[in-house]
Amino acid sequence: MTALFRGASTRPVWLAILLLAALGLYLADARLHLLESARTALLTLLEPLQRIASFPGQVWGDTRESLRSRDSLEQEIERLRAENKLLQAQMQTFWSVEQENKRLRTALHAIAPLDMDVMLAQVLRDSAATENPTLLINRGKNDGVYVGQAVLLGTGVFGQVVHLGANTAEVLPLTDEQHSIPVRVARSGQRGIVRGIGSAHEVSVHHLPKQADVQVGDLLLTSGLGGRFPEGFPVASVTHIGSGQSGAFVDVRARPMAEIDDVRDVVLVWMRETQPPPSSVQEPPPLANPLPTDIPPPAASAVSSARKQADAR
Amino acid sequence: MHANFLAVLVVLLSLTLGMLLELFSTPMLDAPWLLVLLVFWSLYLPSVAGIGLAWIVGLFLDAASATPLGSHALIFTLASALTLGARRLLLTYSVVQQGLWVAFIALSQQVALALVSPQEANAVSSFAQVALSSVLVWLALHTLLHRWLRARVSAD
Repeated sequence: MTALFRGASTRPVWLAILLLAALGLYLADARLHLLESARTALLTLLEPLQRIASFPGQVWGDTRESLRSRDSLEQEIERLRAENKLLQAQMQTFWSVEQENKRLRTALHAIAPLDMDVMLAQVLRDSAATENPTLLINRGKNDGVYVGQAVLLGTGVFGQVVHLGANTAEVLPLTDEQHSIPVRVARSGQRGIVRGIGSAHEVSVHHLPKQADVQVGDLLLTSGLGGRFPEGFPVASVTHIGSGQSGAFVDVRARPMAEIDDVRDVVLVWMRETQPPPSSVQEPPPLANPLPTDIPPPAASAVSSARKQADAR
Repeated sequence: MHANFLAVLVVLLSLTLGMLLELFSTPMLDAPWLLVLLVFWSLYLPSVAGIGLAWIVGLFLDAASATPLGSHALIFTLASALTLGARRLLLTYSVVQQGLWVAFIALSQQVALALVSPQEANAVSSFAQVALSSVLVWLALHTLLHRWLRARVSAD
């Protein structure tokens, strides 16, 4: 090993081969999307470096957390307790509504409803300070993650997986210009598409006709069209409706529900089709623990088990 | 043989460090580290680092920075080839003049990236920052490795 790639000599043939190879790779990846497995292999090789590079940021985040005052922690605990009570109360009605929904779907011979599996993932590198628009998370192909998988935050949709490593994945936030999500207006059911515009606090909503029933403050939910994102998750809230007269569609802007610019953990979602319930009437699930700490929602329990796995790593 | 092995080791270590710096998400460390390193080694150790190495490093950076595979490989290969082609002339220049060459290459990279990877077009750092940071990295590299390289070049 006297030299690394002795092509150091700039023989025109060697240079032409390398340039053509690079161009071929570019076309195969950017235009034909044929090289995902090659990218996965490269990302897997780079994983140790990526983990080292993310280490200072994680130490800084942990230090910032540990330096928070006791008062602010107590305030947060109080807030979370109140939020938990509220969610528990909402869960009481959720189960019966879900059962009724399933029963009605069965009665209408509709497609089977979708259930979800979820897993918590830690952000190794965020996009705030880099030219790279994606986030790196500590879950990858070995965890069953796939390209196109939906990624959520507690408050709403975050984005989707765009590249995979063996134990890492890159996630494109919904605010990126390359990202689109089919949505519906929660109040009127009007369908549209949310696209990023490169700002962490604003997205644009496309394909809403001028006569569409949409107002400032309307909540936009995932419509489930395309099968990539589960239906009914909050995406954004309408902040501005344009008054321009040109074109058939109205110019709508919205604010993402998820806080895109300060993310430490995200939730990966797997959707699976479930069998319709065998009978229209079912008993509610037994409460694991009576109030005030009752009814762990399925998603939350799965998340907590995933968090335990993450902590054990 | 021993000197060459040491040179290979230094080049590989520096490129590993450069990749780490590229991966750090801190604005303070935002500079075209790998590009400057490849130009530096093409200029001072062409027998160790050349266009083949530049191509491989570019491919890894493509994977790390989520740009289309081949885009950085293409740019780094061209940058290395240009530097190797102008090597004799560049070696007669002062370190500051060489720094200007590096700034030119780094700015060309930004333009090329905006062309081959449109999603990066809005994210690329300001041109002034790229030019300044590449010159500063160049000066730092020169200061760190000048004595060792001079000894090596005279030995060659």
